[in-house]
Formats: sequence, structure tokens, C-alpha cells
Amino acid sequence: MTAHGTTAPGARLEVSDVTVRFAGVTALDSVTFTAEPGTIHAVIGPNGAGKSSLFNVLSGIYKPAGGSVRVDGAELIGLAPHRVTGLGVGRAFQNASMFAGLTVEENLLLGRHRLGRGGVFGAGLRLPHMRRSEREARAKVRQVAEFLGVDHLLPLPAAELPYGEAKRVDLARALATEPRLLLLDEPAAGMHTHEKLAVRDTIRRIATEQRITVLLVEHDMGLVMGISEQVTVLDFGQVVLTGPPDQVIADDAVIAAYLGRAGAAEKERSESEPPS
Amino acid sequence: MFDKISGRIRWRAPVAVVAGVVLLAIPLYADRFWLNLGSFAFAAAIGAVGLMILVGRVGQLSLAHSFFLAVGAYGYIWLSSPGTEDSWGLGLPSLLAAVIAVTMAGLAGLAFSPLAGRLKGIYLGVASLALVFIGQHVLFAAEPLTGGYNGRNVPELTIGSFQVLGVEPELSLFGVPLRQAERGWYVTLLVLVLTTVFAVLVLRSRVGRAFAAIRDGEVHAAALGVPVARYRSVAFTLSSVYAGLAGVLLALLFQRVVPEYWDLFLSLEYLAMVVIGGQASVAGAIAGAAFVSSLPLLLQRYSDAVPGMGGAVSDFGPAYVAQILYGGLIVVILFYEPKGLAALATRARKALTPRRAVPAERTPAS
Amino acid sequence: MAQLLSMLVEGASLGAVYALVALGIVVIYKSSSVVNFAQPSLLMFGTYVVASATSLHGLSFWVALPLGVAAAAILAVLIDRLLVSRFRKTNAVVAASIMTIGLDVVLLTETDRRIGSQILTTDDPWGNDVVRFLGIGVAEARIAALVVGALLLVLFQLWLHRSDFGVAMRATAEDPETASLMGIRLGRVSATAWAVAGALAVCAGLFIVAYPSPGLDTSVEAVALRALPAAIIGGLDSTTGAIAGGLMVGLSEVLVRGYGEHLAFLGQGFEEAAPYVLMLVVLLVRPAGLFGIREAVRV
Repeated sequence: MTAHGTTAPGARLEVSDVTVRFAGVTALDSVTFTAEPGTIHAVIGPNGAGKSSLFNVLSGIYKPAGGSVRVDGAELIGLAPHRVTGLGVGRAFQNASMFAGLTVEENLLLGRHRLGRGGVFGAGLRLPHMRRSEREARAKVRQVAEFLGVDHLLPLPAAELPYGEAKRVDLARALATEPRLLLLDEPAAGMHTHEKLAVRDTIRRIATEQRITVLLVEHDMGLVMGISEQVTVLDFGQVVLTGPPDQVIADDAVIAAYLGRAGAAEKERSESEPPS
Repeated sequence: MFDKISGRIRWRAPVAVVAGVVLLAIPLYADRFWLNLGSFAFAAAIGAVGLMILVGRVGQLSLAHSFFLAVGAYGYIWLSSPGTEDSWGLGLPSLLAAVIAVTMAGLAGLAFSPLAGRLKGIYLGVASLALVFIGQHVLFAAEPLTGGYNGRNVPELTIGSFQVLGVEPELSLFGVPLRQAERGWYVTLLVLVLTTVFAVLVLRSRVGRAFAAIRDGEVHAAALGVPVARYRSVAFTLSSVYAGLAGVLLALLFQRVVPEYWDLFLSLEYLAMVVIGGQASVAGAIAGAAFVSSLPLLLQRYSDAVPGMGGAVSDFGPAYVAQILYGGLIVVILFYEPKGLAALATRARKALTPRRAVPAERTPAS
Repeated sequence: MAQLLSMLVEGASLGAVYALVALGIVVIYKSSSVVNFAQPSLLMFGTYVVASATSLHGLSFWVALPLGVAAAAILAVLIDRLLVSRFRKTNAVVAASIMTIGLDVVLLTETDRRIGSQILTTDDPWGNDVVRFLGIGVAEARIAALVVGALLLVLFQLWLHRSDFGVAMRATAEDPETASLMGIRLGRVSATAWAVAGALAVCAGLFIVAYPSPGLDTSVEAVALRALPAAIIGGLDSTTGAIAGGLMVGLSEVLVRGYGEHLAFLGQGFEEAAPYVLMLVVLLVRPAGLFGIREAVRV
């Protein structure tokens, strides 16, 4: 029971030698990894490791200084953001920002923008092709909303959604673009444990039922290790390691990069707070 | 959800019918002054709706509206006038001339799209100032087109021998003869209704959603597949078409136009209409246009009754009071109630239909 | 040759004046992200205070000058504190900028009414003398504008780079939230910027109305408005850009007027449109202006 009926299988994402620099700071340094079709691939790393920069490259917002990103063999770098969506790359945002002036349904319909037809004249004169396109879009959006259990929210103004629901609507909006590669930016951030479980199940269903490749950035290690087939660890803009979760957990370099810094932060905190 | 929608329809239908009947009946009772006031307001409202789409729905500022109004007005004059030695004209049938003139305004807007698509918000506002000043320069310099300082007559709009805004052939409704003022009222009202319906349909469609998405978050819109630059220039072009149409109608109503009318202050008047109307509301823009375009005429007519304003002798003449009011209202409304007149309507509706929350139209966030 | 030289001097002089006004626009933009369309009305207001003090109330220029500068600076600070600052909370910079358009209309309408059909002079110390050098004659007031303008611009740039205010302003332009967390008082930064912008505008206004211009009349506001294209040409977020933009606008205006007979096909009075044409050309090539930086995107 897929929401879309027929869906194309997930895309293979090949990131090679991607380098991003800002005013002398190297945010990404020759980042290379591959996400296989239909898998869940996580990218982890401490704050400032370059995860957000990576996602911004993958959605066409940043232009890297060098390297290549291929989605099923098609080069992504150099495309404007709206053309990247055309390659089948969908994105849910970290802050789940909704278009505040629109309803939830209209937000989801924007996900289907590139799949719709018709312009100013089609709309203003109510031409048949436009009405058909709008009807189809609404039906598809309802399917996606039902798949994620947000259909009851459709008529509400998006600005009034509580954070948790906005996150789900954001995910639905990304799915509405009919992606073959879905970028999820901290889908469980700020959620309670039971909400996190629901998010985990949803991501699994997206990958297994819809066979969409999922690239996941997430801080919750339990979630990451529980659902990912492969994990890429970033630190200071460089790939420390790519491998299955059990290998990542056991790796010394990862522990150094991650826990080392977390340990240092822990220590700092305990020093700055005098014992009461 | 169904409750809410049927609630709104139940509400709106009778209001629309009553308003329609009143608007259609007014020419049977009101005198020339009020009919002309209405015609100018309807024509201006078309321009205001166009600017509202750009400013309120896409979040792009334009101060070039007077330029596109002028393109429509002078396009019509040029195309429909018979040419003479020292004044240009193509002598086309006037209805065709009107259609081409509106198209010209749209093409002028389209030609600006390298900037209208790339520049954002206030930046576009300053860039668009250029069109007003270049336009003013051209209007004063191109005497064969505009008649220079003295201005130029506007050919009548005729279809065959039917004077659309004139007196031939004689028509009457319930015994009331339909002359210039009555015809002006009905014709501008008809065009306003048609263009408003068009605008509402566009704003409700995927095009309108793309506009709002660009306004609320252009990076997110682009990442969802909305071509931001294209829709910005689509909106700019659409708004210049509306301005061109308003320009043609205003020229027809004025019957004679001078270059200095189409200056920066005219653009600011249209901006005032949009701001007073609440920036993002179609109905608000129309109400704002009615207010701003009627104000100087009303002040003129009643200034003798207001102490201190006394006609042309006083410093505090109608023009002064009108300008202070537009400027002041822009400040006050943005300061206290950015949703302007549209907010009043929302409140009235809420007060009358308690417990049914109506999603309000929003204004640009930043 | 002599003609070209004298035009270059006049253009640079006018350019320095535009640069002063444009600098005010840039400083306000950097400290509050608001484009101040009311800058021309600050100029008109302060210059009117000076001109009315000297020609209507018989005060000396040196007494009237600080009065006018202070009046414009105080008005600017009031605008910022009472009106613009309220928009900062909701980050509604477009609305705040549109509001300054409304303010501009109100203030200009009022100064226009007060000036009426008069032409007010400021009794400035430059008088009506012409200086001759290298075979050209240039009005003393124009030389003064160039010298004083350049001096003010240099002092201002030094101040921006050396003072705490300069650092605070640049930090605010970069990232207001972080600046605020680091203890920079955004309200004080923006109030200072508005005060400076008002004061600079009056200095510029006094040179605009000096000889050979007949004095302050209502047409001066159209001149003042050309500081907006100057600021855009240079880049709204660059003080260096404001100076470059001001000079380009001043030179283009003077050169187009000077070579008017060769540009007859463009129609009479094209110099008033020339700065705007220049702005469009620059924006087509560099949408953020010559020295402007494209804003970084944060998602």
C-alpha cells in the first residue's frame, strides 16, 4: 500500500570530492560517499562538522568549490535549487518552516508545484488543463497526507501548527515532490521519545514501502543506529568513516571525534558550574 | 471544514447580491459628481489590485506603477489617434488600440524581468524608481507622443458608431438616460469585476501559491521546486498589465492627459491604496483605491465647509491635506494595523459569525 | 580640455555631496536593514531650518548650521526610536522601509508648504565667488563642497573603522542576533546611525543650495532623491560603495549636462534621468551593486 501508487525506485546518490569554502574556512573537505538506492543512509557528526553545508549543496543552495554530486548518474552541481527538485531530490527542513500565509494543504500543494501545469492564463480563465491539474494535485496531496497521518490538518493555517505537527507536515511536503532521494534534516529534533518512535517508523516505511533513498542527518544516535543501513561520519568537514552502524559504533576514530569532543564539552560544563 | 466553507458562502452570497444591486442602481439616482468619483475609483482599483499582487502576495516592492499606467495611457493615445504632422498616431480602431496598449504595458513589465526576477523586496523598489524618472523624462521630451507640457487629447473609445463612454447612440435605463457619467460607471465597474475575478482565480491557483511561498520563504520555495526568479517576473508582468489597463481607462475618463500626472507621487498613491487596503487583500486594495482616489475630489468639493482649508487661497488646500493623509496613513497603518482595511472586514465578519474562525489573509513577514 | 576638466571638478564636487547623503542611507541599512526612503526629507528639513534661520530670522550661518544639523539628527533619532524600532521586533524590514516612504511624503509635503514659491538662501560663507585655476573657473562653493565633503567622508570612514560604533555596526550588519548576544545594544547602534545620517544629509543639503544654485526651493528634493541610486550603485551594504556611487552619479549628471548638445537625441534635461539609467546598467551586471556583498543564505 504505497501512497503514490506507482513510484520509481530510489535513486543512487554519489557524492565525490565535494569541497565547500566560506571566506577561508573549509566547511566540507573532499567529501565522498555513496548512498545506495532504497536504503537509509545517515550522516552524523558533531556540531559544525559540515552536515548542514552538505545538505545545502545537495539541494543546490550552495555551489561547492569542487567535486561532483550525481543522482542516478545525473550531475546535480550547478543546477538551480528548483531544478534539483526536478532530479527527484526532496528535502524536509531542520526548522520545519511552513509558508506562514498558507494553509497546510496549500503548503503540501507547493510540494507538487513542479508536477503541476498551467500559468496565469490557465488559472485566471479557469482553463480545463489547469483545473484537471489542480484536481489531481489535491488528490495526491490527500494521499500523502493520509500516508503520514496529517490529513486532518489540511484545512488549518500552517502558521498555527505546533512544532511536532509542523515537522510531520514538512515531511509530507517533501514527499509530495515525489522524490527518489529524500533529505531529512534532523527529523526527530526536539521530539519526545514516543514521537521519535513514530518518526522512526515513518522513515522506515518511506524507505521500504515507497523505496525512496533516504539521506538522514540526525543527532539521536539510537534512532540513527536503529534504522540506517550505512552511516557516514563527518568531522571538521571531512569524512571520518562510512560503514554499517555496528562498525561505526566500534570505530576508535569516531569515538574520538564524537565522544572526545562531547567528553570535553561535558568536562567544560562541569567546571563552569560550581558544585552546589 | 465543510461547515466553515458553507458558512462563508452563506455569508458571502447575499452580501454580494446586495452590493451588486446597489452598485448597478447607483447611476439611476446619483449625479455626475458621484458617478465620476466612482468611475475613477473603479479604474484606480484595477491598478491597485495589480500592485497588491506584487507587493502583498509576492513581497516585492515596486515604485514604477505610474510608469506602467503611463505606458497604457500613451500607448492607447498613440495607437488610436490619427497621426498628424507634429503628433504621432496610428489611427487604429480604438478597441484594438486599447487591447494593444495593455499588451504593451505587459511587455514593458516583461522587459524589466532581468531585474524584476533577480532583485528582492526593497531592492526592486529602488531599482523601479528608475522607470518613473526615465518615463517622466521621455514623456516630457517626446512631444509628438505626449504633447509636452500642454498634454494631449485622448480619442474616444468606439465600437463601430457606438461611443462606449460617450452619448451616441442614446441609451436609457428605467427612463434614466445613460450618458458619459453613467456609461463610465458601468464600463469601469464591469472591467473591474472581470479583472478582480481573474486576479482571485490566479491567486488561488498554483501560481498564487508560488507567489505566497516566495514571499514567506524564497529559499524553501526554491528547494521545493518553485522557480523563484520566473515567478517574480511573472508577478511583475501581471501587475504591469493591470497598471496598463488602469492607465487606458484613466486616460479615457480624463479625456486629456498631461505628462506630469504620471510621476513618482502617482506611484506612491497606488502604494498607499495597497497599504491602506492591508497589502495582501484583493478587497482591501479595491477599498484602498476607492478611498485614495476619492479623497482629493471630496476635499475639493467640501473644502469650503472646513475652516482653514478655504479653497485655493489657503496653504492647507485639498492637495496638501490629501498628501498628508496618504503619507500619514501609510505610516499609521503599517505601525498599528498592517492588515489595514482588510482587518476591519475580518473583525466585522468575526463579530457577526462567532465561533467560526476564518483564516485571515496575511501580510509579508519581512 | 578645459571644459572637461571643469566638468570633472564639478562632477566630483556634486558626487561628494551625493556620497554624503548615500552614506547616511548605507549606515542606516547596515545597522537596521531598513532602506530609508525618508533621507531626502531629512535633507530638506534640516536645510530648511538653516535657510529659514538665516534668511527669515537673520541668524548668522554659523549659528544656523548647528541648529539645522541638530534638528535633522534629532528628527532622525525620533523616527528611529518611535517608529522604526517597533518593526525590529518582528523583523519586518520591508514594512519599515515602506513606512519611511509614507514619512517622506508627510515631511516633504510640510516642508514644501512652508517653502512655497520662495527661494531661500543660507548666507553661507562661500558666497558667489569663482576660483580660476588651470584655465578654468569653478564656483568657490563647489570647491568647498569637494574639500569639505571629502574631509567628512574620510573622517567618517576613519571613525567607522576605528570606533566602537563602527565595530558594533558591522557586527550588527553581519548577524544582529549574535551581535546582541555579545552585548551590542542594537537600539543604540541604530539610533546613532540615524542621527549621523540626518546630520550628513544637512551638510549635503547646504552645498546643494549654495552658489551657483539659486537657493533652497522645492526642486531640491528631486536632487536629494538621486542619493538613492547612488547608494544602490555602490551597494547598499558598503560605505565605500556609497562614496563610489555618489561620485559616479555626480559625474554622470554633470557630464551629461555638459555634453548636452551632443546628446540632443536623448532629449533635453536627460541629466536628471542619467543616474537612474546608470543604476539599471549596474544592477544588470551586479545585482548587489559594485561593492555590495550577496547575502549568505541560512537554512
